Amino acid sequence: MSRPIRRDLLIGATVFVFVPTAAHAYVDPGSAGFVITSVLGALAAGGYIIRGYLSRLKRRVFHGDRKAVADRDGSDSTDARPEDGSAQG
Amino acid sequence: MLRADGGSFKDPAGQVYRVMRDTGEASIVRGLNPSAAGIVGNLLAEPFFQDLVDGGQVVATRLIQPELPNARHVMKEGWSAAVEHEAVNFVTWPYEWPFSMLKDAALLQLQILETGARNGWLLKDATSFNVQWMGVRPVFIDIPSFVPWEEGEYWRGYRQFCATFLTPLLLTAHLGIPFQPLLRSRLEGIPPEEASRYFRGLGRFKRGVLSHVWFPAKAERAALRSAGPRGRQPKTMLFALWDSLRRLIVGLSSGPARSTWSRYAQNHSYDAADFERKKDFVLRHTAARGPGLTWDLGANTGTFARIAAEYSGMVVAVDADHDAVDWFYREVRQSGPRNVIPLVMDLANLSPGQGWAGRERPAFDARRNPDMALCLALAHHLRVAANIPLRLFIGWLRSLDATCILEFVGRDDEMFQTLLENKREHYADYTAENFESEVRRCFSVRDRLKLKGGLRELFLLEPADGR
Repeated sequence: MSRPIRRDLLIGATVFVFVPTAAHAYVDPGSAGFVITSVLGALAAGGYIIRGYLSRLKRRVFHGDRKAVADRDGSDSTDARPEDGSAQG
Repeated sequence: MLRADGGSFKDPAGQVYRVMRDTGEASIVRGLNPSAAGIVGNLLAEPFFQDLVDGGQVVATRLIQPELPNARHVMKEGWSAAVEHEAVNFVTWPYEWPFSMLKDAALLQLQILETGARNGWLLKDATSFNVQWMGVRPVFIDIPSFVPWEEGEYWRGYRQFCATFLTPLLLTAHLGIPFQPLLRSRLEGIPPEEASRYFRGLGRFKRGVLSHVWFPAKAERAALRSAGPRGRQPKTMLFALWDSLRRLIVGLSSGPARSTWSRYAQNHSYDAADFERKKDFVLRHTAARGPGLTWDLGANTGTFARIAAEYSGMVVAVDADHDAVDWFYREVRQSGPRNVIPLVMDLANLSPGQGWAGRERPAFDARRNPDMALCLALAHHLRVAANIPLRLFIGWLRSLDATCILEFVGRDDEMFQTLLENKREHYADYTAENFESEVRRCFSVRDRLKLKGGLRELFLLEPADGR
């Protein structure tokens, strides 16, 4: 290998090892957001869906017989959020 | 006169201005570019948005007719349209809030996200700086953050929400680390990589940490090595994520109060009769003046802030004791008065001007001067514990250009003696004579009241050159 080629290789290796990859300084740390929210959303979705079914079932069972009371009171029982069960992280 | 808000420049969709009226009050007007004007116009017509405004969760906003002066002033700056927002009495920053205020602000953010999404709108930002306080009521203020939600779009604000809301709450709730100094120095919040270093060993298994600190930290490190994938997310996943965040935050607490009752005892070094006379002094002079804005500096558990609130437009109650401030917030949130904003701040180290050019987040004493300032059982703490000379403290008080009720705690008072324990310095300048001399350099003494047999004295002060 000729001396100029060895010199170029040495310079290139030095730059590769000691100079930070330019991309790191320009990559938005939020670029992982889609993966993060997808994983966390998927993990949360199971419990969310189950709580939603249980919430609607509970309303049907316990409030369905009291529809007359609800109508009289003018209360709105259409809250779509699943009721809080035991706290989960 | 039009003045651009120093903190409103990052969003190219618009710019907030203060339009000064002849009365000295300011209208808050936002200029919008053509795209934002169309979106905001549609948003203001949405019933869900009006419901949020009527419920006090979102700042009242109206489109200004282009021919009106406020709109003309702003549109001359190159904007296509202008909206006016209800003004916040006193701007505060998340690093000044106690734990429970940041928690309630986070829950508000999630509530608005969920409500908006059910109606086809998403918030593109999720920073705690988008929430302000109308007394004890948190209110969302960043209207241009609402954007039409495209089906399948993922929640881009998740990282910001964690950095500025959730992670600070987790650090305090799980590790007892106050989040205020961290947020003060990191306006963009605490990133997951940094947060993960606090939760070591079994700490990473505390509620919410694996999901929202450890995992995002790992994922972001991986993202630096290769571009993150993109795709569509079903709506259910987002609602599930927000629901899980809400339930996590509801379950967080800053732990039992460690100092409240000890400070309560400290306040009550008075006997009952003297304490009533002190309260009466504050009540009489606050009622006589009806200040628009009162600062209670060294408010502790808010005894005198409550009195001032009855006769003031708004009271900002500041103390360095987080537990006392957090307790006070939870009390007034539940049973009033509602025109109080409790803040955590070391009065020897007030919030400075921060952000770009030091003006993006103005300093505490650069936002709006109070009409009245209560400094009860404060001066001796600043002199002894913080080594602030009397002349500097009283000079700073004078710079507020406010009526002050100032309490002098004498050297023979047992609380002053307690402060002197283990101190070598004798604070020779801290005498009744020197105190009054410094006060009279800057103020006129309008009333005074000796308490505890002369060990303490209250002064009612007006700025020396009159108002």
